[in-house]
Amino acid sequence: MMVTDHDIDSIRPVCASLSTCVAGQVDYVLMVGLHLPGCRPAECDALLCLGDRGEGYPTRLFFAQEITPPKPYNLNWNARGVHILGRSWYAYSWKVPAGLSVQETLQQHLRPLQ
Amino acid sequence: MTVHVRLTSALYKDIRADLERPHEFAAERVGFAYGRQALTSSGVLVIVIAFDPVADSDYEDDPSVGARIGAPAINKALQRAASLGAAAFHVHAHLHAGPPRFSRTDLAQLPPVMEPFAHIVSNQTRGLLVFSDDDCTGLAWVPGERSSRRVSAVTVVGSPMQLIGVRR
Amino acid sequence: MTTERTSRQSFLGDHSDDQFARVSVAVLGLGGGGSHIVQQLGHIGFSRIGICDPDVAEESNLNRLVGATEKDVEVGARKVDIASRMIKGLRGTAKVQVLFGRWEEHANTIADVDLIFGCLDGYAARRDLESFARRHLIPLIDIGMDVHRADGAAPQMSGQVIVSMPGGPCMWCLNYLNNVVLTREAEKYGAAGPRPQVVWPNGILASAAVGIAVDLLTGWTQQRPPIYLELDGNSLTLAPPARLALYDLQKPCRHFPADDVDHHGDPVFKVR
Repeated sequence: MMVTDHDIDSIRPVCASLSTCVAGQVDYVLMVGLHLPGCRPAECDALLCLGDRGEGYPTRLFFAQEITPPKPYNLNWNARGVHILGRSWYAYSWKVPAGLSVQETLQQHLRPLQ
Repeated sequence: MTVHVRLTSALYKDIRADLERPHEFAAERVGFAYGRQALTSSGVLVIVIAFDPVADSDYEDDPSVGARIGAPAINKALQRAASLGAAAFHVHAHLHAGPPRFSRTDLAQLPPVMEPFAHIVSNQTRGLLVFSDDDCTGLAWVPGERSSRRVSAVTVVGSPMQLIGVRR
Repeated sequence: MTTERTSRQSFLGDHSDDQFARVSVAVLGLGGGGSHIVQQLGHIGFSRIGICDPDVAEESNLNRLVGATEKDVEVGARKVDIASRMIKGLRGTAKVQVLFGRWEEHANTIADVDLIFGCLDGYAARRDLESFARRHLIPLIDIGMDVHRADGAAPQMSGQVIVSMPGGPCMWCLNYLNNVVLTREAEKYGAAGPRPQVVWPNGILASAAVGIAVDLLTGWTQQRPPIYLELDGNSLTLAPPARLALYDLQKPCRHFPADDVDHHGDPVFKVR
């Protein structure tokens, strides 16, 4: 999957800056300061992984730290401190299918935090 | 701050084999090695993953030096570094055992050859490597620094592993 | 240069002592496997050793943690300090880098080493460590063991030593890592419970790993060291898995292409 300028523009409103990288044939979108209204923290760096890293998640959203959602929700943080592209990341178990747009993919991954 | 270079034994073997080929009139052969850097706690690591020999036709006949290459060869190397977004090193060999040294001519003429790479790929280290039969010496310019640094170690990764160059 | 201390290992070559003194290694994970490795490195003469682990010694470790004592458990000694004590006791001049915490927290330091011994738990951890090692062109020697219990049958003990050499086959090429094991592990996260661990298979695996490292550094066998050994802990055999004969080990690794700049060094993100 190639991340197009249209994809980037569609998610630009929700974070301070965006950059992309391809590694292991998987596209990654690095979102610096992703806005997470009502969460603790309210902003966090995040890494959107637009491919399966072998764990059975077609796509995955990683955060620079664990996030507390606005409503009590038992998130299963089953990726803790995983090392991807030079940084450590955290992710809860949440399956979002492949084939959606980048914007839809991100929206679906953020549903537990809304 | 240390500068450490790593390359696979397969690439090292290819580089050595190329540099040892005779040339019609040049006493030494030259090439450019490309890679990417990683910042580590002690300094910079340069992982070399490709080598392009200078084409035979790009040498200039000058008996006063071991090898002279002109603008076409350097431009090709600049384009390659730009297209890869790569660290770039000028590479040649002194065919003897033991630690090689840059000659006075090397130190006068090679840094200006590598200067343009700083503008083409400003976020990657550039430098010079000279191999001997069993050792290596290098100089590197790390992004943001004007003066060169000695390459502190060169590791040839493979079976067997070779730890050459000055060890920190 | 051979000394009195290393006179019995002079067969490794005239320059072997220098190699052991010059090379820098890291042992990531100082449990049953890693503690064995550390002890052997100290004995042989490795002098630049990074040791990394986030844990302290507990009662349940004493059945296998080489170098640990009851006193260590009593005071909650860090595993890194136990390992450091062991190395320094064998070689006071050794440069030991104590890295307390998860290896990811010390990635910038580990990137400097010439060789990594991976003694971590789990497939995902191995996946990430191998990816890091390949990106920094560092050979990785991985070890691990497990015991599977099936109803009515004897427990099955197994283990592995895998050498992930940049340019050569990776754990994915060797099918040690695959989507099945990673997915299964992700589904079981948090429910795994304590894994069975005992000292003697760890010793077998650690010894093989150190032996491979010594061969990589000295070339004393004048052969390529094995890249994949499987332990059958029930029959106590350590051998290349039979299925290895089906793989073309000369084929370039397609998971970590050796000639792709984007797979090496610090990741370069394109600002959009």
